[in-house]
Order: sequence, then structure tokens, then C-alpha cells
Amino acid sequence: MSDERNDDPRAAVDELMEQAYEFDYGTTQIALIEEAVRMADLSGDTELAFGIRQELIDAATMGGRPDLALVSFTWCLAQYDKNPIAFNTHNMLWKYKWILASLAEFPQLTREQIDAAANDMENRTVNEGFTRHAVETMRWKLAMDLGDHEEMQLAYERMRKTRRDSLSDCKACVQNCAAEHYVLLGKPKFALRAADPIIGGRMSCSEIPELTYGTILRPLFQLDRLDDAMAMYVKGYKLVAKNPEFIDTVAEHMQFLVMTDNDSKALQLISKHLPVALATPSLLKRMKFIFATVQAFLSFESKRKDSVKLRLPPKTPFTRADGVYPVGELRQEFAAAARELATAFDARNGNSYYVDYLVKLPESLAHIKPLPVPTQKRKSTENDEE
Amino acid sequence: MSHKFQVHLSGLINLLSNHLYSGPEVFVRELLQNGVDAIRARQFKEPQFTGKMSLELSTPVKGVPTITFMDNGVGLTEDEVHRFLAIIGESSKRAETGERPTDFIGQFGIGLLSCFLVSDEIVVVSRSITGTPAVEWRGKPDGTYQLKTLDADLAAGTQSIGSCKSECEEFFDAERLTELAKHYGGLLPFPITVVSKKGSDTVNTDELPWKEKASQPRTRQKNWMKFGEELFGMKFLDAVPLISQAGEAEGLAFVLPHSPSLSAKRSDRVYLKRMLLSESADKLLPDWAFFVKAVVNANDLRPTASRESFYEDQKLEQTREELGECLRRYLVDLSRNQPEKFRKLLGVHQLAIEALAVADDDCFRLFIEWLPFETAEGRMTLPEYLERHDVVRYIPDLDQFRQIARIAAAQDIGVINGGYVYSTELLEKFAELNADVQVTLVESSELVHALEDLTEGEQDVADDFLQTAEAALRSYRCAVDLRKFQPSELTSLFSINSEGRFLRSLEQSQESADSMWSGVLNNLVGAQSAASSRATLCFNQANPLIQKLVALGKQPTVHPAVQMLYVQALLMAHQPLSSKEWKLFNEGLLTFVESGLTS
Repeated sequence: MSDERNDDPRAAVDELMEQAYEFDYGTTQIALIEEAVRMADLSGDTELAFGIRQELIDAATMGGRPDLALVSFTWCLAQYDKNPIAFNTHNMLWKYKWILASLAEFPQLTREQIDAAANDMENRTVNEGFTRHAVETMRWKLAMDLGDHEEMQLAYERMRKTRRDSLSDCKACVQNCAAEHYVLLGKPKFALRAADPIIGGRMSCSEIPELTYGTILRPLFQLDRLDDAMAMYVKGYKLVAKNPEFIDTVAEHMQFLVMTDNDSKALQLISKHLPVALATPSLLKRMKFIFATVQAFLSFESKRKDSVKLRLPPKTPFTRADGVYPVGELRQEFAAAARELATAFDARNGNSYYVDYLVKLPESLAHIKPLPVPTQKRKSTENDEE
Repeated sequence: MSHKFQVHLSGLINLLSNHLYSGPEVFVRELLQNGVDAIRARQFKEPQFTGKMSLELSTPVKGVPTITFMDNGVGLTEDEVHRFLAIIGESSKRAETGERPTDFIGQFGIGLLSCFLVSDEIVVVSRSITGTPAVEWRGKPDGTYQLKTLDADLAAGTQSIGSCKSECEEFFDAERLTELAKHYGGLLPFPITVVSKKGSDTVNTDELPWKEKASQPRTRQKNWMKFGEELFGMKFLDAVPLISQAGEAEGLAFVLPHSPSLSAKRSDRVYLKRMLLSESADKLLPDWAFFVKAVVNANDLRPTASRESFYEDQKLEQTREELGECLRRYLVDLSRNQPEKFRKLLGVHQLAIEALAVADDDCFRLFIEWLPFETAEGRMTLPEYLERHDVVRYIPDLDQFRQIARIAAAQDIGVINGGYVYSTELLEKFAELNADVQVTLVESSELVHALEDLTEGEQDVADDFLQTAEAALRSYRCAVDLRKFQPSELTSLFSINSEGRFLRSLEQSQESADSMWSGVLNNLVGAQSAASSRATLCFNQANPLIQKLVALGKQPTVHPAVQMLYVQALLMAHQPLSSKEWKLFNEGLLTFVESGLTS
């Protein structure tokens, strides 16, 4: 490992980027590229600064920092508009998709702002000679996050009537969204059919099948295919456990554990992932994780479990040193946090989707179907180490 | 009688040579493969049978050089020739009862086809052990072949004859042929002889280097090291035996004498049923094992269509895990029983060991006490650090660490640099596994609070200065502080946390964004966090220049001086300046130049 950082900003950029590529998507990689961006700015080379920011958009989008991706993107877009010939249009629009799709994750942004961004992207794509397939896909995704099922179905239809082109999301991504679409509509069989090419290994991309294993837990559970669902948990959880970007998928796995009566496993997941969930700038993902946490505590309460031991992040107001918490108190704390977020989202979205979901959470516990997580037969050296 | 291939042969050959295979030299591998398959099929029926193969090079003074490959395997009947040579891709022996699908890796027809890479005509003469008449098959690259039965009473087995195609002369050379036979078949259990004008040369021995039964572990180790050096042309630090039940894999891993780049692809030498499959396999060992180069033979893994790597399936995954386990045990054993050797290895392969510690709790517990960290007081291990400090503080960012390290060291504050590849992950894991030790991530701004406060008397005197300084930097959202710290030649310490940096970059984007996106960015941060200060400039009361400024209090020169110190601090902290800050810098500079000129 090199000890001295280079004083020449360009060389420092190279060095930082080289290091960054060593890492999987996530916090460390993002931190390195952020620093590379500062160095690129110091070099005064706009093209370099643009290029590194494009990398940062990728890393931040794939590594759970949509806020940072957004900030980088707006800078790039402004440079692009100033001098469109200097930068690659397709690249710019490709990233526009990601940014657009992420906007609903921030309840601070208004619906008007989101719509305006969608229209802006639509104008740009059409002006550049692309079909509306990409932008309608994004509207479809946005509608899912906005809890607007009517627009979701309309956008889905519009997308399906539009010809795919080079700006379109890859087929695996679209297929995964289709599965999610049907999950949201409460049509488990359709959801599984949509997910089939992915689960069968015939379609994949950088985030697929990671996301899909989580998506289909619920439909499999609803159709009583518990063993299949468990297999998806075993396969899928480890794929999403490390990257903050997938914290909402972790929440799906956690929900599945609660609904199959695997309480101690669910607790482990809470301890492990709560710090990330509480830090993620995507309030939507944070909320989804907290929903799952509330569901877990509700389940413990219903089983008359008084206290639980878990590791909370050191800086929450209710963290205790001994790690032992009365279940009721925790449930209240998290339910309050969940309600606050749900209310903010609903106010922005103009519906009552998330609050309704939260209100109905306790009912879900009537449908718990116990199935223990299979014990891993890892050939550990733990035994012979004693 | 003339028959037609059922595929477009010239297209297929083109495909093979350009895409599927690495180069024309693979014809040697394919011939050997066919021979091995034929011998194994025969041994399946006659368990005691001894197989052998030969490659005969004939270089007539006039005429075209030829290579004749011979095996004493099971041979082919006329019917089989039609089946296996006419329908490319049909495996010759798969259907036999009791055999596992991986028993015969060769696909006779496809294998033979690769000979068209170096020859325009291929002749196969074969006699089956079933005693049916010998057959002769002549195939051309246009897809036609002719077949006739022979009266001659040949021994069972198969000969394949190819004649040199133009520009393939290099392969019809005794030295090259021997080299290739050794390369691909050096570990095969049946003797391979290369026959040419220069004589005859057996290129392999029956023994596998890692199976060696030398009584003395020391001798065995020495032989392994020698084998590694010959095989890879480099002197290794150590040799570690590998074994996996899952893929029936066995071999040796050699510890590299240098630290490879993290992104370097691994390239191991792997054999399938003792036939060389690839020299650059990257899937057989886990990612963290990048500190070794391995040679492995597997008997029960599936090759890909090109037969140059393994098919990614559950068995391969399990094999990878088991082979990784061998390396893990090796490291564990070394750290326990041969600390000096482990330390030496750590010196070269710290990253690999850290990667393993991060991924595996057991390894973490064993290795953590060995791993050196960069701290404000120099490199030391965690136990050494904990002898001096109760709390493990780390700054996850190299630049921030650099800013604070000198100051922290001068005040005896323990801080670890978490900016290196695995440092932060290791420390977080340490916290997870050691509930009794407090491990905290700190921002450099938090460390400022640990610096020495002013006395009440000094505080009173400094009030005016602090007010002026605060006013000078208010619109830059930078708070001010005044403390005493070493080294005294430092005028100030600029600290900014990650949120502050995020807000700085957000403002930077806002400077150029259109109204729509500017509005989006505004909402993103929210009113509250936009108004709060995002950085602190802590002046050093121990510095003579600052003492002068403090004494000046409310004098007009203090204001621009503070602003200039701020800009200087930003630049030293590698923060790009906003347009407002550039303006400040330019104006401030002019002011000072002017006052210099007029005084």
C-alpha cells in the first residue's frame, strides 16, 4: 500500500480511482471517489472533473448514496448543457434515468419537482432521437415508490407499447420491476411468472438477481411455497447483506424471517443492519427497513416476549449500554419513527399509502407460517481451535 | 462412399480457432485428450490394462511433414466412426452404464476437429477392441469424409494423422511438439512418447508432485518448492498442499514472493483428470487467496465448452471453499506455531491477510493482534495501541487523518488512520467482537474539542478577536474556535466532517445548476442543515501570529487576515474553492499587496 499521497492532483485522482476500483460498491468506494472528485476539481480540468463525477454517480447509485449521486449529476448536467458537444449524450441520459428514478426516495422533494424532472428527461430523450421507453420505465418505477398504483399501471402500459432502444433499462431490470409491480398489485402468480427468467438464471445484470430474490419472497410465501421461499432467502440474503444500496431488500428478507417465526435470526438482522438503515439518505429505504423492524417487534410482543438483546447504533437517543431492551418500548419508538416517515411520504405523494400499510402491519401477524432457517453446514475450524 | 457433415464445417473451424480455443497449439491437447479418453474407456473394461500414447513426427526431405498420434485405447468400430466423427459434438463414451458424466471429458469429434487448425486433411485409422475390422476415415475441412474398412490385422487403438498446413510449420517441429506434449500432458498417468528423427523422448512420469511420499517433511517441502520454481519460473516463499473432496481436487499453492496488485486476476494452473486445462484459471480459489499461485488437478469438475476453464456450478463453489479452507488452516497454523514465518509473510501479504480477516470471524480473532495500523504515533498493532489509549478512535478518511495526525500526536491523543483499504472494516469488526473496548469513528472536527481550552483570562482577551473572526467567516458557514495546541508553528486547524463536505459539493453543483435542479437541491438539504455551519477553523493560541491577531481584537486588518487564513486552510485541506471563495482569495491578496506597497 502506498503511504504518500501524490501532490499532483491528477496523479492523486488516478491513484484514488485505482484504489476505488478495488472495492465493491459501498461506503469505502464512494469515499475514495468523492476525494478523487475534489482532487479533480483542484486540478482545474473540467473534463476530468466531469469524468470522475460520472464515476461517482455510478458508485453512489450502486452503493446506497442517491443524494450524492444527485448532487454529482446536477453538476454534470449543468456542464453538459453549457457544452453539449464535449460530453457523451447517451451517458448523460443513461444516468438521468437513475437519478430520476431515485427522486421519489426523498420526501423532501415535491411531486411537482419529480414530474418536472421526468418531463425534462422526456424532452431530452425525444430531442435526441430516443424512444420514450426509458422515461416511461422510470415513471413506472416512480409510481411504485409513490404508492400510486393507478399511474403505475398506466405507465406500465405506456412502456409496453413503446419500442425499446439503447437507452432502455436492460431486460433483467424491467423483468424484475414487473415482478415487483405484480407484488404490489397483490398478484403473486403473475409476480412469479415475471421473475421466472431471472430465477432460472436466464437474465441478470449488476443488481439482478440480487433484488429479485427479495422481491419474490412475499409471493412465494402467499402461495404457501415456503421451501422455495426459504431457498431464496438462503441464496439471496448473503448477496445483499453488504451493500447499503440493498437495505430495503434486506428488509424484505427480515420480514420473511418474521413471517416464518425465525425471531432470533430477525433480531440478528436488526442489530446488523440498523446502523446502515438509520444512516441511509434514502428515507424511503429507511422507512421500509423500519417497517420490517416494527413488524418484528410486534411479533415478539404477540408472543409475550418482554425483552430482547440487540446492538443498537451508539448514537440513538434510546441506546442502552447493556443492549437489553423492553420490547414494548422499542416497538413504540420504531412505530413512531415509522409513522413520522410514512406521514411525510404520504403528504408528498398525495395519498395515504404508507400510513395505511403501517396501520395494517399487525394484521399480517395472523398469517405467520413457521419454518426454521436451515442450519448452515459450514466446515468451520471453530471446534478444533479450542 | 461420400457423406456430409451436418454442420458448416469451415465456419465451425473458424469459430474454434478464433473464439473457442486460445491458439492452434491446442490440437496437441485435443489429441492427447482423445487418447486419454480411449485408454480410460478400455481400462473401464480391462481394469489392469496399461495405456500409452505417442506422437510421431515425420519430416521427409521431400514432401509435407506429418504428425501421427497413436493410442492403445478402446478404438472405434465403423459404426462408432460414423457416429462420432460425422456428428460433431457427440461424445463418444458418455452413455456407458456406471460411468459418471465427467469420466470422459473428451468429445472425440470436436477434439479431432481442432486438428484442422494445423492440417488440411485428417486421417484416422482405428481398430476397436471388439475385434471388428479396422477402419480408415479421411476428412476434409470442406465437410466431406470418406470411410473404408481395412484388411490389415491392426492392434486395437487409434491413430490420427495430420499433415502440415501452410504457415503451421512451427508445430511440425520436434522441439515444439515435445514442449507442447509436456505442457499439456506432463501430469498424465500414461506414458507419452514423442518420436522424431532426434530419437524418442518420454515427456511425463506417473507421479504427481504433491503425492510425493518423501519421508522427511523437510525434503518434501524442498521438492515442492523446486517443482514450483520449475513450473512457474519464480522463487516462492512457501508451498502449501491443497485438497478438496468435492471436486476431487489436489495440488499445491505457492506463496508469492511479492505482493500482487489487488486487481490482478488470479491465474492458477489447473489440470482436469491430469490433463492441463488452463494456465490462467481464476475461479478455483477464493478471491482473498490472491497471495498464492496454485497448481491443482481436479478429477470431478466440469470443464466449459472451450475446455479451458471450469463450469461455474455448486461443485466448483464447494471445491473453492475447501481449497480456501486449506489456505486458511495454513495461515492459522503459521500464526500459532511459526510466528516468525507468519510475520515475514505478513510483511509481503498484509492485504491478503486483512481481506481474509475481514471476511472470516475466526481468522479475524487470530490475526488481528498481528496487523499493524497507521496511528498518529506511527505504525503499531491494536494491542500496542491499547496499551497507550483506552479508546480506539479512527478517522475513516486519509486526508482528514493527515490533517489531524500531527496535532493529535503532539497532544497524546490516540487516532488510527481508517483510510486504508481494509482498516475501517477491521476496526468495525473489532468493535463488533470486543464489546469491552470502545471503538469510535471520529471526524477531525470532534477531535478539536479534545485540544486544550484557553484559560478564563485568555478567553476574556480573545473575545473581540473571536467575534471579528466569526463575522468574517459567517457567510462561509465556517465556525471559529481558539485553542492551544502543538506544534505551535501551525496557525490553525481546519476541520470539516463528511456532512460538511457533502454540503460544500452540493453548493458547488448549485452554482451551475438550472432553476429546476437548483430547487431540487434546495429541498434535498432542507432549510435547517443548510443554515448550520459545516466546518470549523480552530486557531492556535500557541502560534505567535495568532497571538498578534488576537491582540489586535477588533482592528480592521483582522477581518481580511482571518479570511485569508480560511482560504489557506481550505487549500491545505484539499477543498476546492467555491467561486465566492476564489473572489475572497483574489480580493484579499490584492488588499495585502496594496497595504504592503503603501506602508
